[in-house]
Amino acid sequence: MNALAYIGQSTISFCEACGRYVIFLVRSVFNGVRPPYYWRQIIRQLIDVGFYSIPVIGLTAIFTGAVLALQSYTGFSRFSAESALPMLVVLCITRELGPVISGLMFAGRVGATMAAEIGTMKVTEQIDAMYTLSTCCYRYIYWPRILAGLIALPLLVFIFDVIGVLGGLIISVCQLDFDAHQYIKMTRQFLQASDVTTGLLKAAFFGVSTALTGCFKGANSSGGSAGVGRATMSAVVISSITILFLNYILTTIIFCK
Amino acid sequence: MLSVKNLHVTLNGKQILNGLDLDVTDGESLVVLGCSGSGKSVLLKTILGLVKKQQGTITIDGVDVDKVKRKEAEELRHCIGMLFQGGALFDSLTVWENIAFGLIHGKGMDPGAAQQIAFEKMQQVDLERRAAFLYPASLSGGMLKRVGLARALASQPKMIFFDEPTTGLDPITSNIVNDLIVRSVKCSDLGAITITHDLDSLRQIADRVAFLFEGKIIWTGSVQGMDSTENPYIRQFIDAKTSGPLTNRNGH
Repeated sequence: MNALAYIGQSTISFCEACGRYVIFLVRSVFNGVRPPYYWRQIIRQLIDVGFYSIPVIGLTAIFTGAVLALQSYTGFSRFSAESALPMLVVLCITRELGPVISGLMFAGRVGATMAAEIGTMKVTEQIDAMYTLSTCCYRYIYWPRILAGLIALPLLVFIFDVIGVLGGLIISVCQLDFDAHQYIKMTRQFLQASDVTTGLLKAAFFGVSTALTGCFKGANSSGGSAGVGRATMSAVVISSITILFLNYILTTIIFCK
Repeated sequence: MLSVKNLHVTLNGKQILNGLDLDVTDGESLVVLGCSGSGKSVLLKTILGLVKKQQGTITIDGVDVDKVKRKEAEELRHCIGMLFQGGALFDSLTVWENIAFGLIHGKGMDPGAAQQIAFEKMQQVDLERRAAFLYPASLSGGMLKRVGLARALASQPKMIFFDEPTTGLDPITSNIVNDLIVRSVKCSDLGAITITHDLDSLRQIADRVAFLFEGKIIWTGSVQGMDSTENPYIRQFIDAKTSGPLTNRNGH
């Protein structure tokens, strides 16, 4: 009976949290799309969230592409299918690894920053102060971040795709004796626009879910610095799990029709 | 004028305010006293709409905030300025941007005009012009309070709330902040509610004192009345006795 009660209680709590999460998103969007628009905040967030994430995304991409090329070569060489390597690298990166790895890096860097920053604002009464100064925090704080997540992550994923393929090319040419011209030709031959666009579409979902989770967790943090720490940790964990879950759902919808 | 009747607030299952009644007239400076955790800050936040009440009425200038549209209620509440306990300044903005925040983002004022008002308010609270471009992280406790006060005054509120304005300040800076509060309130003929534990501060700024205990105002009167009262709750608080009705019933 206790176990049943625990399961019931957990289910109710989960549903309640999901409901509050959705209400938070609806409020952010509803307030965000109405004037006044805080362009300065939106641009600032785009720079913080997007531009400053380029180095970490770039580094992750080049190593991912390189390792993917090395491992694929090892596997393909067992049945003399080395020539399929450029195809595998480009499809894996654009369809799956680009959006998922970028999303996870984004969750670690941006989700954590948002939760910590907003959580600190919450516990130091800055959000209350904003309300007393007739400013809607959904419009000023949350919406610019969610919009930045929506715009920045697809752009970062595109950068990841380019650098990841480049990483595969470098290793293939320098270490695996591929011809650069042939590698690029095969990559272009196999790659379709839909491979890239579906990856970017996934990234848009991941960007919104990460920013939303960071904002939601920060806005609901309490209990001083320890509370902010907990909010930050749970923002990263929930964002990462959400990305993997959403990736499964979106892959099922897009590729398994 | 602000009037609060039969206010009930429960937070996390705990009854914080339990049928509280309070009135503040224009130009009056009311100081609310009470033990730590008695719900003084919750009272201010409930009036401002930051905490939900379960029961009771809040009337601002004769208008019940529950009987008008949400936007009108928010506008009424935005006629109240607040100086938060820790200042609550925005870390990412400079001093002048903090002061002008409500003017630019809340009232849609041109940033140039808002900056001029910010400079005037800085002068009003004795802050030097060169502090305008500093960030809150580089300010002292006294300066944080001054900036917070300037920000609360910038929107020209009809009433102003001070949440423990002298906490954490040395006696000299406390006196300076108290002087600024008195000057700001009296010069602008504002109604004010101040929460403080600092009795010296209270004597400087209060026209009237209210004592909050177990979610209700149990005593109200002038500063002289407070000093001469035989009310055992007030006496224990003023004399800082460790035993008495406050500690016996409050479980201290």
